[in-house]
Amino acid sequence: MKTDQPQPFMADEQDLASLGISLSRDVEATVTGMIEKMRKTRKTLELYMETCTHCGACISQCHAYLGTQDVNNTPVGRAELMRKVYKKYFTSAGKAFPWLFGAQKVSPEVLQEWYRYYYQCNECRRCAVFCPNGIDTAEITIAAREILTSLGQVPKFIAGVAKNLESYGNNMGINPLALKDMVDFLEEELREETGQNIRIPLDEEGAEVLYNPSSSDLFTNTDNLMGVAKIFHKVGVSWTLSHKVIETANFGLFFHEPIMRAHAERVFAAARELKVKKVVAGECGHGWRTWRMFAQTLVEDRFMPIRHIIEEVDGWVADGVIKLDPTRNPDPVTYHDPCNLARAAGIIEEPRRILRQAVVDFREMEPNGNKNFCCGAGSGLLMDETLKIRMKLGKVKAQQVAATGALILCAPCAICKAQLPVVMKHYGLDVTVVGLMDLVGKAIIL
Amino acid sequence: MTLLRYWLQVIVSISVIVFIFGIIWKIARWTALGQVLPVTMFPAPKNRVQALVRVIWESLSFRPMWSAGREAWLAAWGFHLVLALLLLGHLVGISQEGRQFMAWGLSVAASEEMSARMGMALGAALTLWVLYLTLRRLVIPSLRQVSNWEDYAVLVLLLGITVSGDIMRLKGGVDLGEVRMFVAELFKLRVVPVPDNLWFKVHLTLISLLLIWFPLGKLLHSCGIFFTRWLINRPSPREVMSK
Repeated sequence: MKTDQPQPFMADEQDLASLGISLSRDVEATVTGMIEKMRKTRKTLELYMETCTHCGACISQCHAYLGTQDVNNTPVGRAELMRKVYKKYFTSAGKAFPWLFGAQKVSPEVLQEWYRYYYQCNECRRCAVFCPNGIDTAEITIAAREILTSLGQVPKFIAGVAKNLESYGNNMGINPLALKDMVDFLEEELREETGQNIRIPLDEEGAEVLYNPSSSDLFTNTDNLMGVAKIFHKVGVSWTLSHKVIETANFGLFFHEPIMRAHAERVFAAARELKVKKVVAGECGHGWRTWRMFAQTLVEDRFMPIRHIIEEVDGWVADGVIKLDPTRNPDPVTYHDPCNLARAAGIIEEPRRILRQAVVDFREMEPNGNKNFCCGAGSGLLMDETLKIRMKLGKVKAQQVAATGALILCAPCAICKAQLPVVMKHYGLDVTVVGLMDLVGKAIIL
Repeated sequence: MTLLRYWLQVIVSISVIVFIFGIIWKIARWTALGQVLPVTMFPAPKNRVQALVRVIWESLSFRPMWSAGREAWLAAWGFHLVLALLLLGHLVGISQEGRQFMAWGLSVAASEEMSARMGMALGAALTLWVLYLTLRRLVIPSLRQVSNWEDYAVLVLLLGITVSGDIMRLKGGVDLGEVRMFVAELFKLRVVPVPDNLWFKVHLTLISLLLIWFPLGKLLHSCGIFFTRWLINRPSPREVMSK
């Protein structure tokens, strides 16, 4: 069954030119040239193209397939879209017997399928957990999107976010004046709530920590940033935000590696300028993957540690530096492992240790940890025009949450926090979605 | 004329060369290619020894498939187990000419008899397993949709090999001494006559085809699995970021 939902609106040439992306016109030469180039530095690509046996172990493990029942949304089916082309141009067998090995020349129709289905993959990597060969379809999606970018096929939404990132250092396009206003407002809120002078420092040179939140923490998830402010206040760590980079997310991962590199460099440049000793990343899944796994490669002069706020808080709770009162979070809470935070970057036990201290009734959803299902918006698939498909991709997550009977869904990732409230509402679940630092912020004894 | 007379020897020789050099070339290429950005999956092994142990365990046990579903695991793991036992049986049986069980105190005749019976049983088991793999590929709708002709061709080829082997045994078998001589001479690059047994010739021809197929298609997963599993199990120590 083919999905009939609309595809993401495509960015125009001007959008892409403003991001410094030059477009190629020769489809065949671009596709083959880029595959040839990429497989030299990503052996996974060649291995994944050549070693899949079509055993089908991944099929029922993919939330995209479970939600849409579209075979091109199975990991193997999605990978096959590129594998057919790879076989045609890069294998002797595919060149000699294309019909036998399922090889296919690239064409505008093929690219249309690529655009449709590689932008229905959440790059959640769950398939790799169950594939006997360890094939990680997210790698194939990343490669395919990079090729599509060279051919000018990028969702307008993702290109827009990347442009905001380049212009303002954050996804939402918050300018420095709006940022200052918001920080003042949140400080006032904190004073009203706690009666204490809890600060949210901005551009303070010489602070120990540069805190890099998700930009949504300043507008839609403000309890999260206020929670973080309370924590730093209680622990006595000097910290600061930088107006040059209020974004731990890195949409470059989703379509264009140079943009991912540029953002990684932007954070370290801000950290250097403010003379901080370390960077602490806020609640974002894929952003954490880029810091934890890629920054060392992407940024040559990375000179300081990057920690995740969850790691820091876990340590402080364990050491007794922070005391939490779980009765302030009396409702049943379940935890959603953001794919990139857990499977792709190893933060699995830390949030659970914190939650057991911060809430009265913590309930695991099944499956969880590295086998957890994606929220359905991973890899930046938050476009309004594809809302129908987003809800299908979020179907399994809704079923998981419903089974726990929880009233609070804790999801420490900005993309999950944007997607899950819509999913909960769509499937009729009266569940509030919060970040982990929201709950810690409520429970912390100041 | 000589070529026509020795056509099977020629095919076998070519297939062995394609197989060996094809595999070596692929492994060398995969080794040489880089992987700039790590794709480690978590929870990850803490060091390279742990990673190596996990790669070997996962590759031999198909543990990820076990988590995906017991039926799929049994279909895949059982097939590979029977295949491995059969290959081992061929290796030992041919090299010892069926007398390997003499080490257990059996007479020559009894050892040969047992060798033949075990070969027959494993051959039949593999035939059934290949049939099952084919059937599930045809019956499960999503699996059928993601299958291509190569998937079926490999199964048909395997079926041809197992069935021809089974028939050969049912018809009295082949002289293992002759087979041993043939194989030994083949690796010395000498042309010798193939044992004069029609079903053995069919069996050998199909095996040659499989050997040629091996480095060209999906059967490469047997080598690739160690690379792919290593890549997602490669240790990624946290202290790298905390220096």
